[in-house]
This record gives sequence, structure tokens and C-alpha cells, in this order.
Amino acid sequence: MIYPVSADELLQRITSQPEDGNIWLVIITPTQDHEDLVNDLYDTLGIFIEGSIDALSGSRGLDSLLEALNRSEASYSILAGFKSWGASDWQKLDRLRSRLMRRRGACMILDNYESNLLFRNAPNLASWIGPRVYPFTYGTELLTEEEQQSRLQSFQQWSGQTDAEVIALAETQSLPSDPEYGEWLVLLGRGDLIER
Amino acid sequence: MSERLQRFRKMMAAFEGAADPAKALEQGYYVHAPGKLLVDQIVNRIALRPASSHLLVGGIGTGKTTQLLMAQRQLQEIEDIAAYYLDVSTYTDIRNLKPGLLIAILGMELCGFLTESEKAPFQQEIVAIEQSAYGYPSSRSEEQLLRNLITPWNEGLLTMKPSFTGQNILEEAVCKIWKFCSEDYSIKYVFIFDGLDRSQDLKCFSELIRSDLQFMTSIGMGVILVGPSAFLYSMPKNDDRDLTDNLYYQPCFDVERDIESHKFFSNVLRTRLLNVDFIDQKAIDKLILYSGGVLRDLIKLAETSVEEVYASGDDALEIRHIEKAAYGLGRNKLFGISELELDLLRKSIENNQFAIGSPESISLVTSGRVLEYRYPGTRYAVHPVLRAQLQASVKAA
Repeated sequence: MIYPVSADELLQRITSQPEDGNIWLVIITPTQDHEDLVNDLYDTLGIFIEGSIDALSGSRGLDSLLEALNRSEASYSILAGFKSWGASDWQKLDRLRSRLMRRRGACMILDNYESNLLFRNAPNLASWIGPRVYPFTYGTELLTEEEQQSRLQSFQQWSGQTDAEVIALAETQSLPSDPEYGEWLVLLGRGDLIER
Repeated sequence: MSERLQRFRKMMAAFEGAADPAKALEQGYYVHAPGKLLVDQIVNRIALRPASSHLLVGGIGTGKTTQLLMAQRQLQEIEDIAAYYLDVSTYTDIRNLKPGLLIAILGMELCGFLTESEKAPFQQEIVAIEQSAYGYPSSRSEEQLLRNLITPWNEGLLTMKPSFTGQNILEEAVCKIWKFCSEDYSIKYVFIFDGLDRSQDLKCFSELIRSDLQFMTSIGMGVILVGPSAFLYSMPKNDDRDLTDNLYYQPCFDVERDIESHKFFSNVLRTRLLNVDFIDQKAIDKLILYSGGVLRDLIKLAETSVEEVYASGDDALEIRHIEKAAYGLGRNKLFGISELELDLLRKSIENNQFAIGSPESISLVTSGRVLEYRYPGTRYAVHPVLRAQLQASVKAA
């Protein structure tokens, strides 16, 4: 059994987390997709969650990242750029885990090699992350026509509303901020109506 | 925000205390298990003999920090005891463990107890403590500096490259301020040092507690310390066991074979479940089983299972949500594992046996991939979520 997540599911998971939960997760995806994923998450999370978001890089080393995390007032951080990190960097992050406090939390975007380094050398951090390790592949968010219809039906059942009613609410900026509505509008081809 | 989203966020908030044990205590989620937790033993022994030292070791996620914080609360309730909790990792990178480190931190804390007027007669001591902690300029001659015989700035104990050599001066300074602070002999002070369990240098850890713990108890202070679990398996000399007055080991809870442990875990979950209709006993039992008796894994599995319910559009927690969360935790534990360790795990599952002694076996235990139980009997078991992953991969093959 493999449970890759789609972008929508990632969004749902992060938005379902409590606002001051300090919940961290790991997204595993090939290195070539890291930049796109950081940008996509930054844009979409910014719409759906309360509080500010920042995207921080580990490319300048651990001390620099820790400093950036301490200075940042964002409630959620997207972290990537761990290519240059070796075992000793992850070991140090593990020792300094008490300093990793984000109001809402953070996601770390890693490839397979970087994940292996983290889980080998940072057992305390790994324990803290727990089950929240999600493989992600671009393209898995594309549903078939049948899957899209099924998804739309489940939204209609959940809310008791029709597609037309949801569009009308979105046009008058009266739509609740639940992430389900965002996905609903995207499936209807009306992603243009998504706003904070 | 929909009522559903609000409801699920509230449910998850009840479990997110795994990130911050202090928060979990404040929110009233602490569940006491008489006879199962070491906090009672530690507190009772300190109550009888405040100037004593106590070392607590245990696996990752077994609840050590929670117990230390609880010990602080319970000690504070004793009329003549004042207890202080300090996380060493917030002061410095514990890679730089060196004798005197804890004394320097203690010294900085004691200086913080003094009012401005009280500090006046201790200026020399305060400078000595600060320089011990953060470094001091060299007092060697310019000629020697020019010849590069020594580095011009001596790094302190809390800085990156400690080359501290003035422990006697530090101890004298701390002793003087300590005597002033504890002038009122009716109050006994206990300091609780957390964070050293993440240290990987066991030799340095040994030297640190040999030096610093003995100093602290010699001046009449109580000390509770957390250490790395590998210390227990790798103690090079028998007399390392005598480095503290009391050594405690917090094992995992054998939820499979000990009904009281199972009840304790069930209570931990029920204390946090806001809606009892959300989960039935079968699901609770499944969560407990998959936790392997590791408290943090129980909380994390429960929290992620709630998230699975939300993500799948359901309204009640079912076994399939727990299976998915357990799969994620199992995958986490497979990352970074060496071939030798994997082989050991497979053999352990096949033969139902595990012997601790080799570096790989110790690594498996200290990383929480193999769990050690001490009650009702000593045994080792591959973490249930990892067992499920490995057994599934064998079937698939």
C-alpha cells in the first residue's frame, strides 16, 4: 500500500491542523519539483490558512536557517533547500529541536536521500514528525472525469448546496473559508473566484 | 469556517501537546499512573533527601520531559523545596559537552535570582560566571599573542568551541552566590536539567556528570538530570553507575502483556477525546497496539488518525484511518535504516528473538525501532508499525 498525497489533500491536511499546533510534516518529492512545490504551497496556503506564511531555505546551512526561523513572525513555514546538509547538520538540528517552534507548524520538502539523512540522524525530530511523512508526485492531483464528478457529488452532499449556489456565493464573496470550497471551485473551473 | 472544520481542529488540538509537554500539562491532559511512572519515586526520594542527584534515562517519546515537568510541580508543592526546570539545549548545542557546562548554566540562573542591589557585592563572581559561559579575552602578553601561541579569545562553555580551563574559578564563584541565595536554610533548591538525552557523546556525558553533579550535590543542591538511553547500554566502567545517587530507566509500556499499562494508555486517550462517540473501544485498542507502548507514538497516531477522518470526509474514527496513520509512522521508521539493521529486524520478527549488544542492535533500540519493556518481564519487540510494514513487504514479495 502506498499513500501518495495530492496537492489538494496536502492543503486539506494543513488547513485542518489547529492554529497553534506547531505540527511539522515532511513531503517527499524529487529534487526537481521542490521549487515548484514551494511556490504552489506558498500561493495556495496563503489563501486558506489564517496567519502569515514564509518559505525558508536551508541552503545557507543550519545556523542560518535557525536564525531565519527565530526572526520570522510567520505562523507557518515551508522549508526546502537541504541538499547541502550532511549527517552532522541533521544531528545538530535534532539536538536543538526545542528551538523549532512555529505557531501553526511547518512542512519540510525533501527528496528520498535527504529524508534518509533526517530519519537516520535526527531520531527526536523523527519522533516528533511521527506519521506525517507524505510522498508527493506532481500530476497526482489530476483526477479523471469520473473522479471529478464523484468529488463534486461528495461536496454537494457534504454542504447541501448545488454548484450554482456555491458559485453565486463566491461571486458575492460570501463563501466560507473551508478548503473544500476552494477545491470545489477549482473542479468547476472557477479557481479565479478563490480569494482570502 | 464550517462547524466541521472547527470541530476537527478542536479534536486535534487536544492531541498536539506531544509537541510541547508543558502545554499538555497546562491543558490538564496529564494522566497519572501510580507505579507506572518514575516521577513519584524521584519526588519521594528528593523529599526525603533534597541534596541528592537523580539521572533519568529512557527511550524517545517515553514521557521523560513530561515526568520532569510533573516532578517540578510536585516538588513545588512541598513547603520547603523550590524546583527549577532548565532545558540545556536552549542554552547551547549539547555537542559541546564539557565539565563545567551545567555549573555555568546554574551560575547564570543564580545570577538571575539576585536583585540589582544584591548583585553589588558579587561583581567579580558574576563576571567570572559570565566569562565562563560566554568567553573571555586572553590575559597573555602581546608578545605571545603575536607569536600565535594561543588564541586571543578563550571561548566559554556555552559557545561553539569551548576551550574552558577555569573550572575552579567558576565553582568558587557559583558557590559564593549559591551560599547567598540559600542563606535561608529552610528552602532547599532542586534543579532539573532536561535536554541532555540528545547527546551522542557518552564519554563526554560521563565526564560532565562526574564533575558537575558531584559539585552541585556537594554544595547542598538537588539535581535531576535526563541522559541518553545509550548510556545505559554502553557504560564502559561499573563505577559509571555510581555517578549519581539514583539511576532510573523509563522503559516503554508493555501494553500487550500488562493490563495496567493498557488501561493507562486508554486513559491517556480518553482524557483527550472530546467526543466519546467519535471513537469506539476497538479503535482505541488498535491505537494502543500500534503505539507499541510509546506515549508520543500513541498521541501522534491518534492525532493523525483524526486528520485522516477529516481528509476522507468521514465523521467517526474507524480502523482504516488508524491503519493509514500507522502506515505513515512505519514508513517514517524505515527511512535511514541500514541493511544490517534491516536484517536484524527481519530476523527478530522471524525468530521472535532480539539480543542487545551490537552497535546496530543498540541503534535500533535507541531510535525507537525496537522497543524495550521491563515489566512484567524484560523483552524486546520490533515496533508494531514497523513490523506491519516489514511483514507487508514480505507478503508483497
